Amino acid sequence: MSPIVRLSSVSFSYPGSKRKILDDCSFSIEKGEIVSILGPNGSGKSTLLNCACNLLTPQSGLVYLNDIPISSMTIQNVAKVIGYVQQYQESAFAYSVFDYVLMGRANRIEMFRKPDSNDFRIVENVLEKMRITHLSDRPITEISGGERQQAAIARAIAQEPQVIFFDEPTAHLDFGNQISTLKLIASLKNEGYAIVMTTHNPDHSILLGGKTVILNKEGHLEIYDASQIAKAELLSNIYNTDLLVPFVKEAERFVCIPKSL
Amino acid sequence: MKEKRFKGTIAILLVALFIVVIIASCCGHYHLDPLTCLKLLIIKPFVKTGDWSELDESVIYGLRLPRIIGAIIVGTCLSLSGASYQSVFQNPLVSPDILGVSSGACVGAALAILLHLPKTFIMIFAFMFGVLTVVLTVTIPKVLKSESNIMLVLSGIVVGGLTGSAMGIIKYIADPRDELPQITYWMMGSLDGLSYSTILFSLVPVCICVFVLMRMSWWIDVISMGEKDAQTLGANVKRIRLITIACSTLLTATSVCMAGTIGWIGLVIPHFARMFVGTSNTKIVPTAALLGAIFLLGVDTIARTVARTEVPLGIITGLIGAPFYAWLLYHQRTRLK
Repeated sequence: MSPIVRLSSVSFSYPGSKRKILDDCSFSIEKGEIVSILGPNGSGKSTLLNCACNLLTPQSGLVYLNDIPISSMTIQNVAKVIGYVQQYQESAFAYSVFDYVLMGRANRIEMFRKPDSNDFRIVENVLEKMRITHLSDRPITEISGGERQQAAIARAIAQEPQVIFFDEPTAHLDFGNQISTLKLIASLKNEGYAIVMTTHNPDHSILLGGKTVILNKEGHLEIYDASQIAKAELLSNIYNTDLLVPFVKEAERFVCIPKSL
Repeated sequence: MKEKRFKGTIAILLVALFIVVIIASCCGHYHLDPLTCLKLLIIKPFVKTGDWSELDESVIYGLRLPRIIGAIIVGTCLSLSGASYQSVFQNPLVSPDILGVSSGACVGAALAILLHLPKTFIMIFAFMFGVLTVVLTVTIPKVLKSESNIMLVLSGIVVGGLTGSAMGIIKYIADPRDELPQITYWMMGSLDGLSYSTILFSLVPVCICVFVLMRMSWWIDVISMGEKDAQTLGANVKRIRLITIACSTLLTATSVCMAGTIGWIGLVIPHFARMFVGTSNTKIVPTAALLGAIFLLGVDTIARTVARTEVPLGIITGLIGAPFYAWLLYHQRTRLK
């Protein structure tokens, strides 16, 4: 089976800057696989996602979706493969949650056309599945951060993609909402979606399992099994700070904690 | 349920428009009773004579009807282009006049008058200069690398200043015997003296643009989420933006050709429409079109009846629009920081 997304020797730097954000990066994601991307601030985690979904064009290297070069695909066809939950940006207009999630259908609707009853039904089902039907008529600008994250995920599901990208899905969320978001991501993986997510918390990679991609400041990436990254030395190196990775019996897993301040 | 409410709103607005049309055809220095107006408007096209006088007929068909149709078209144009600009630029504070498109189109049209070009060219010039100003207004914040809502508004002021000077130059070199009065009179913003031929001529671009915007309305919603978001959802942002801005600018240019620059409608009406039917452009487009038509027809009827001489339209739209903009800024203040 061919991978859903495959990056082959991708290099990228922003125009006018000599620094290579990504340098010769290759990795692939298959169905039902979960990949978390770790790296210090400014290491290009979001850039990696943006290159993988054609928001940015790499200077060299190619990105393939189901073995088709992404640069030869239409915007709509890319959106049929990849759903992208970006970091929330304040919307200028107070669309209702229903209308917001409905926009996820844009990848199946022709230009000059509007969503039909089939799209409405799909959105209703997604809202129900996410248990946010009660938010349907609420303006997206007035719901809580956790609810907004749920709406954004619902919108990505409404796209019916093969893989969902998450850019720091736990940022700006309280502790409880962080964990419920991770739970949701794990359940999406079990439904067969491939997941790629960036995170600042190595614990989240350990919790979710799957593959972990570590991106360093030089733009090089290394791929590990999530169980392999539970090493104090490795993680301390990434973040340039003393970390401990003890095994906690009660949780039956390794956890990543700072040694001291 | 929501759909029913929307259809109800549209039905109410259609009835309201009909009532305002009747009122507008009755009112004026020569008063007509509503029944005669109704008969004249509805039965007259099918029969030769009726129980109305020839004077009644010529007042309705010669004076008031072109003006009524003109007000409806211009009101629709301005409010639709306002709603579309706001969505495309993700900025609820902009409108054709604030972006400088109206005054840009004005310069184009005045230039065409100055060069004694035929009517078609007045329209083409207005459109081209409208496009030029909108491109200029959008480019300034990009060059300055500041993409806040306020920056776009300020950029509109800068471009507005330029077009104001350009207008001054045109007036300065215009022949004070014939060209200058023609330009000045038409710039004041009036629906007076519209001919059926002008109306018919304007209907072509208006119908095309309204149709396209109606069909594009949902996609305008999608691109109003921002470029990055919209593209990952599957929207061809560049193409949708181009089509929408072209249509909005053509609508603005048409309204400028018909009635000069009339401020505030493009800003205020889309917000009224949002209050009634929510944020989605699928509902805003028809609602704003109807509301704009009703509003401008109402304002124009007041303008020509309230005083002995005609009050310029801008005075009344400004009296209503300016306080509304202040109120809007008050509500947006947290988001503008």
